[in-house]
Parts: sequence; C-alpha cells; structure tokens
Amino acid sequence: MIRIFRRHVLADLAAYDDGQLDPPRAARVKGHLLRCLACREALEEVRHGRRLLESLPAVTMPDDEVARLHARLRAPAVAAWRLRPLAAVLSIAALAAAAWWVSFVGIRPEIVRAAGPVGLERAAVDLHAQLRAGSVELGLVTDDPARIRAWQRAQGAPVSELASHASRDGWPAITMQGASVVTVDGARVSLVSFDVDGHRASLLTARQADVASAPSSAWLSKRVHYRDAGGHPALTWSTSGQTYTIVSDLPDAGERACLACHTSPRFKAALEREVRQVFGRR
Amino acid sequence: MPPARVTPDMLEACRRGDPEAFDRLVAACRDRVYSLAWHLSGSQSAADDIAQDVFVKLLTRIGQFRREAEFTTWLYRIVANTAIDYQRASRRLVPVEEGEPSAVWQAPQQEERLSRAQTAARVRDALARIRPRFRTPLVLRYVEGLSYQEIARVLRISPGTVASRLSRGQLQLGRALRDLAPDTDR
Repeated sequence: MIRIFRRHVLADLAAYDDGQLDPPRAARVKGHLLRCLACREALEEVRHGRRLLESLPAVTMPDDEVARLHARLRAPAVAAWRLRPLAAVLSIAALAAAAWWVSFVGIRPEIVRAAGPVGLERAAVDLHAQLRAGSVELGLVTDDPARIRAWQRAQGAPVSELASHASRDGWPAITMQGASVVTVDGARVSLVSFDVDGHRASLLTARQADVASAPSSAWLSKRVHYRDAGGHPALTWSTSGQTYTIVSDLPDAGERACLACHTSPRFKAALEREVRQVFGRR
Repeated sequence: MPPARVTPDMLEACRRGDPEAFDRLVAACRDRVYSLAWHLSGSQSAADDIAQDVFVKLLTRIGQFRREAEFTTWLYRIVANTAIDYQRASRRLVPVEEGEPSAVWQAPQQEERLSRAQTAARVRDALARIRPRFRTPLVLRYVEGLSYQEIARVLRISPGTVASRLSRGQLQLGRALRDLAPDTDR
C-alpha cells in the first residue's frame, strides 16, 4: 500500500477518466487517488482540460477556401498529376511546360487603357476620398493582412488576397490601415485601406457576379483595366470569381499598389515592364 | 447535402487518376482536414494554407497509398506532419488567434454566442501553446474522436504513450484555463 501511495499516477489519469485502463490498473489508480490529494486535484484538472476540448465547436472549411482549393487543384502544375496513370512521361513534360508557362507567361499582367470610371470604380473613388477626408471610419483597424482576411471571412464578405510583406530592397513599404465591409449596388463589398510608400490606396473586392461592368478574366494572364478617375489612377481586374479595384494617390498608373497582394519578384518585374510598354517612361 | 463517405472504390478510382473521384474525396475530407489543421496550428489563416498543402500532397501521393493501411490514419498523419512543417517554416512558436470576428461588429443580443466564441478562442490559444507532442493526441482524441489505438497508429507510438501524453496535455490545458473551471474557488 505504501509503495502504491509513493508512486503517483499522473500519467494514467486521462486513461483512467476515459475508462481505457484494464481493471487491475484502474483499481490501482483508484486506490492511489483515495490516498493522494495531489493526484485527486490533478484528476480534476485533467477532467477540466477534457471538458474544454470537448466544448470546441465544429469547424468547416469556408466557401471561399473551398473555391481556392479547387482552383489550386485544377492549376496546370497540380492537375497534371491527375493524368499520371494515363501517360506518365507526357505528364512530366506537361508539368514542366505548365510550370514554365505559369512562371514566365501566366502571371503576366496586361494593362488596358479604358475610358472613365465605371461601376465599382465610382464607389472606390468615393470611398477613397471619404477615407482621405476622415469622414468614414474603418470597421477593423489593423496593420496585419492575415487578420484582415480572417475578419473579412468572418463578416461573410469577399476575401482580399493580401500578402504579408517583409521589408525588401526595391520594394515599396506597404502598410495596412484596416478594412470595412460596404454595400455597393446591393452587394457586400470589402474595402481595404493601405499605404504604399506613404501614398494612400483603397482596394475594393467584390464577387465578380455582383459587378455589372466587371472585366472578364483572362486565360493565363491578368488583364487590368486602367482608368484616370479624377486625377487618381484606378486599376480594375477580375480573377478567380472576384473583381478588384484599386484607387490610389500613387503616381503613374498606381501599379505599385498591386504589390499589396503579390510577393513574387517576377510578377513585379513583369508589372513594371508592362507599365513602361503601355505608358512609356513617365 | 452531407459529404460522401470515403469508400474503397473511391480510393481505387483516385489511384487510377479519376478527377471526379478525387473531387468526391476532397468533399468527403475537407472539413475534417480543415478542422484538424486549425486546431493543430491554432490559427485560421494557417489552417487555410495547411489544408491546401494537404490536398495537394494527397493528390500527388495517392498512388503511394497502401491498401492495407487505413486511409484515415494516412490522412491524419499527413495533416499532422504538414502542420508541424508549417509551424517550423513560419517559426510561429505562439500562434495568434485570428479567426474570431472583431467585437466592433457584435450585436448585443449575440452576447451568449460571443461568450462561447471567446471561450473557444481561449481554448484554441491555450492549445496552441502546448507542445505539439502533447497537443496532437489531444486534438485527435477530443476533437476528431479517434481511439487510443488509432492515435497510436497515426503518430507511430504505443497506446501507453498516447495515454500518458493525453494526461500531460489535458493537465496543462486544464491548469492554463483554471479560471474557466465551474468551481474556481479551489
């Protein structure tokens, strides 16, 4: 009895509470608990830990993550694996070609000049002016892009694909200010405010189906509409079922605001090349 | 519509490269994978990335899946390893809970729901601070409902080690959140 009392039973408490011990061992633990206050208190803590874990609500994958998952699984580089049993050698070649295409061509932004602000851009211009004037407050004030994404998801609003940026040479300093959810033409639209090298920018994200004049998605390139919105550059594009508009105080085409969502040096180089081609050296 | 069950025929069709079968497999597993990823990482944004990576691994490794091994065990092992890899890569030793909506947007009548959500957020936060070797068995047992034997197969440890890690983990969690105990006068 003395030997049992000396040997605490902490390691067995979860299994004891869970009814997972064989009868002789359970009896031994029970005997020890009758005599050991420390282990009795520990058993209560173990039970409390279990109750807390069992109280966690069920979690399901959000719809926008389901859509992102299917888009990723259908991306050429991943989807090539589906063909592997049919033609392994061809798949490897296709995989390499697809990777090359996506890396060098697929991410190429294509800027198209367009006339006058339309639809979502008008709302973006108004909201941008209101934010600059301080006449509208953000629903969430944070500099954390991940927190903005999670908050948008919790609001049931379109999720902006904002990236987390580390400081890098040659890259603009991008600082998030916060986010709101607004209604544009009856649709819920996400508004994100951020600074690019000290210039204010406003990003609206809407479901493409909700935007009457949404530009169409381009195959394996990103077609971006550029408009001069009262002296502010406005860029609008659609991808993966969402339409985005950025209005900013930035110079040129305001293209540096695009880097709020992009971290690839190759995309940045392609973007700068495209701006030079479309606008010349400005 | 409830997700389809994973069947041997579905797995065999996935191994043959049938894209529709893989879509059905994703639909059947995605919530389980997402839930596990969230509770293992302690962060919803990490769960987003982990779940994506898990399904890409699943797609590219389904041919290696051995029929004699149980699919669920294999899947859970991929999720657990991916979560650990993610944590190492991001060096996030103390994840920050970011999945709950801002209080700014909570209506007063939602207080009870908010309280439950806050409790869940605290449990997830405390869970994320427990070392992975103790955290993973806790999640597999009490969130996913696996038996000691199933956890042992997923983690390749003995059932006795599962039991002792559960004890250590539950004890740490219970002590960390002592203020949430029904009787806090102790």
